[in-house]
Amino acid sequence: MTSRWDVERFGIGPMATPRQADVLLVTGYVSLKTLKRIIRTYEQMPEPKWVLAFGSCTVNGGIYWDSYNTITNLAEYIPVDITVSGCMPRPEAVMDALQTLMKMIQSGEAGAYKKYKENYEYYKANQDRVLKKTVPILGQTPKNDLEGKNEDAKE
Amino acid sequence: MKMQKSDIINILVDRGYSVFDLYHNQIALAVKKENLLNDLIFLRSIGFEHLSFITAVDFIDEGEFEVVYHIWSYTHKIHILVKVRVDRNNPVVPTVIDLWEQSQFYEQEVHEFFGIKFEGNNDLSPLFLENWVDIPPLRKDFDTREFSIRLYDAEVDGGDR
Repeated sequence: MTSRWDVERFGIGPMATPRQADVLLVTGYVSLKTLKRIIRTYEQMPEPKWVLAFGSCTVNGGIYWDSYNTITNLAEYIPVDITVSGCMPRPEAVMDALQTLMKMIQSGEAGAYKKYKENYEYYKANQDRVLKKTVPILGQTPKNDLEGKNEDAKE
Repeated sequence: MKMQKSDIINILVDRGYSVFDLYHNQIALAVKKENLLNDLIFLRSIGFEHLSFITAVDFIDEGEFEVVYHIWSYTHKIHILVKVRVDRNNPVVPTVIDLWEQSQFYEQEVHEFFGIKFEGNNDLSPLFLENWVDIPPLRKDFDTREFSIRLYDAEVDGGDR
């Protein structure tokens, strides 16, 4: 959000660290490596905290929906308060979403961070399922790597 | 001394290579696995001193991988693609880290995404993927769509609208 859009007039500003922030914007596709960092960032934020998922990629995968390394729905891994669809969303849409989020906070609708504590097992299970997988998802073992290991064992 | 593309093609044809003229500054060369290192050393000796990239193509119907070495000459301003075919069931090619040090990373990448082994390279550890337990993801028999549906609960065409 550059000076052209002047989000400061709505009382919105970027923070230097997640430990000082109220809202986490996840802007774009989330690969497994990014997801790991997002979870770490999210868990560092002090409560109350909110998450804005930005772009189609965080909602249903967008054009990366069938990629082997990007998750499709961010809300399975951390609780999302509000989503902005579009690829890319216009800056106006982001400002509108942030203002909507403010209204939702005022009315008490936005409190997904409470869900994270209540359903911690659900979120953790989903996170571990993709980040700590131990068996091949498609049931095929990596043939050549196994052959390599056997050869090494023989030596 | 700068050579024209036609001169380079003539030199290569005289030495018995199969040469494909691709673009105004690009030619491709099909070589055999056994001669790969000799051929690369020869190319380097006539001015093709820079290795830009190593990549691979999965020809699953023919049961072969094609490893492609992108080689550039600063003197001739010509880009050569050296292509070598290897058996898909035993994909092993000799390493070129002794010729070009930077190939360490390219070989690691090709090994990670295609499972091709580079004989003589002792560090083929993964560069990009974390905790990968399936077959290498850029092989044609890896079904990335099915993978995404099973692991990430992806919905086909974005699900219900």
